[in-house]
Amino acid sequence: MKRNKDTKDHIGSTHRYIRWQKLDNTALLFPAIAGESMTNVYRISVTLKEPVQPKLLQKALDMVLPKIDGFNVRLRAGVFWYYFEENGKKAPKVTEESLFPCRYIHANRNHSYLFRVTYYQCRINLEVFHVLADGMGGVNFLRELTYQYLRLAHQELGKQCEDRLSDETSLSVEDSFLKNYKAAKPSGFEKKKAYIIREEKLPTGEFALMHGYMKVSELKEVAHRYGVSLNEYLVAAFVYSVYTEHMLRSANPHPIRVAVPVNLRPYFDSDTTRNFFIVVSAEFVASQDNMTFEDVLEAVRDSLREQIQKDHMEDLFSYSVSNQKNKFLRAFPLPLKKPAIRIVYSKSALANTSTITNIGNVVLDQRYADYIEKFTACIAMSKGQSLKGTICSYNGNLCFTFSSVFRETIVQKSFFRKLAEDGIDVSIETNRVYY
Amino acid sequence: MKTCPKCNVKILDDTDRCPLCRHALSGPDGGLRSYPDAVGSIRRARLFENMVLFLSVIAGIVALYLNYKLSHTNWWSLIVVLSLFYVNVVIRYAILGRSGYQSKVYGLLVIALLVLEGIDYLTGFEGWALTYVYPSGIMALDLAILILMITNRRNWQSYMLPQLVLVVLSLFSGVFWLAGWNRSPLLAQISVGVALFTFLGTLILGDRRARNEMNRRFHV
Repeated sequence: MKRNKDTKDHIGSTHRYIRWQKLDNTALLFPAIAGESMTNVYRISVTLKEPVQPKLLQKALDMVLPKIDGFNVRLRAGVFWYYFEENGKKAPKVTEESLFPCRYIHANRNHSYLFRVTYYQCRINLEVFHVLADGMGGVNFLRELTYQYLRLAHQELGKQCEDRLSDETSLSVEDSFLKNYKAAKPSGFEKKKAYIIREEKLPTGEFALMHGYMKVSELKEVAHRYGVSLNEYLVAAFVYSVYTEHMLRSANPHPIRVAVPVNLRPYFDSDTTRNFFIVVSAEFVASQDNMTFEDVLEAVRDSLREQIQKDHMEDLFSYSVSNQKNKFLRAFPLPLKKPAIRIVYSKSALANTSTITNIGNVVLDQRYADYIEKFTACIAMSKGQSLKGTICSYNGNLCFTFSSVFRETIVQKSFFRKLAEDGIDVSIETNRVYY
Repeated sequence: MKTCPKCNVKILDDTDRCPLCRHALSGPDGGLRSYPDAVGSIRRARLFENMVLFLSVIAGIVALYLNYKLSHTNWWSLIVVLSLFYVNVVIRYAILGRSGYQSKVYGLLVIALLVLEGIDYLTGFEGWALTYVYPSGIMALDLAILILMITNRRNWQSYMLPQLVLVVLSLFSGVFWLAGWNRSPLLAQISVGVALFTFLGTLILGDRRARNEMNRRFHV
């Protein structure tokens, strides 16, 4: 963050620095396209083995937030770009969950913070506007919040551990896109229209969640049997479900294309807590009738492996950064940039049937792990994508969450039945929208 | 824990039917209710909005019908329709809407100006909306911003861009005058002066913090 040089205010009662930072390359997109119907908010939840105490959770948030620069910001609109400014207000109020997940976060509400913390029974929910951070940044913040909460709720933990951030938590807010950007590359993003799932939708504002819990060991065994990774297997099962339930196992010229965000940190030696991911696509074209799961799996595996290469991913984000650095485009005022960004986004959004994102395996300090039951995550809907999947695992258990605004559960049924058929023990939990 | 014999999955929810296939579940009773009843609250809010909209549509149609029956020269019913439109905007946007207070204040004032301009047009277009209401609206917004700056002293500098926008908007009064839509330039000149001087006052008195705010806002 840049630090202002003003040390004394001539108006106003406070004397403080106002730190600010530009948005990262991916984040530039979100404020321009986000709204009530496409919130770009994701949720990561931790379920404890005991009911949450709201006052202690609020206290924990009050203590942790000032230490994490990446979340202690508000979004401001400049004449040419949005940017982050140090927030410094009181932490947002922790409330009991009473509405649907992943609702829009207004930049001027919630004490101007771009995340919210809610609780329900034993669960703590962190909802984050994607402009702030990707899943890794969200997990970092939720982990620290949970640690602090547990230290407050359990004296024995408070004695064992100091009230400070844990060693594994990064505080870097580096723009890793800019740092790793190479010379401008042609666009590698897919633009051709994909197969779009069409079903009757839930009433406006309603949002359905369906968690499927399973053992990582069972999944690994099945994926190994098919000769693919766990991620490839789950994405293929999703694609196969769309193929069987919506395309009715018939040939179709539109590919089923699933956007798969890839965490770039391991490839570029980054530990930033801001966004640093790129989206690749798992693609399957139903070139003939009655294709098998193995055909789908092969197509998904090949397309993912072909794209998840450091050079290819570098080309993808370098193209985006080159647009951001283009002097001509930079000079356009924000009110003109916003509709242009929306148009470009709308075109590219229809290039994917759905999105399946993997938050990864959440690892906790063993001293805290005994108090924690599970982690789950979900993402909001976007244009043309009314059914999405989020994968999250913790302590040997994996949760595949479907978020959807469809009234029926056609794809979900086929997906979980396929997993069960392959010998995986699946338990389902919903947010009761389907009853 | 219950099981769906068709899907071959366990269902953790407190339910007797499978959320995937609607088949009856087998196994002992008892399950989780790990999410709140969000459906009820959202449907109640929507019902209120729709009730207001429904009543407004009826009132508007009745007004138009009576106006048509009673007089063909004076279209007073359109003023009723515009007013009902504004009531709905206030309810949906300002009362039930979830946007920030700044956006609500500016948004409502801008829409109010447009509605009043419409009423001016319907009542013979004497130009009172652009002559008096528009510059008064600019000055009202200037005052609102000053109050917000005092209320939110910690971030007073964040209102400088809206102040600058008001300077630009106040200059439109001159355009209206040149176009002949504004009958008297006096109030327009005062509104330009108020907008300009409040902005300059903030910039000069605000010193480095104000200049830094402008740097941030104008970074390319």
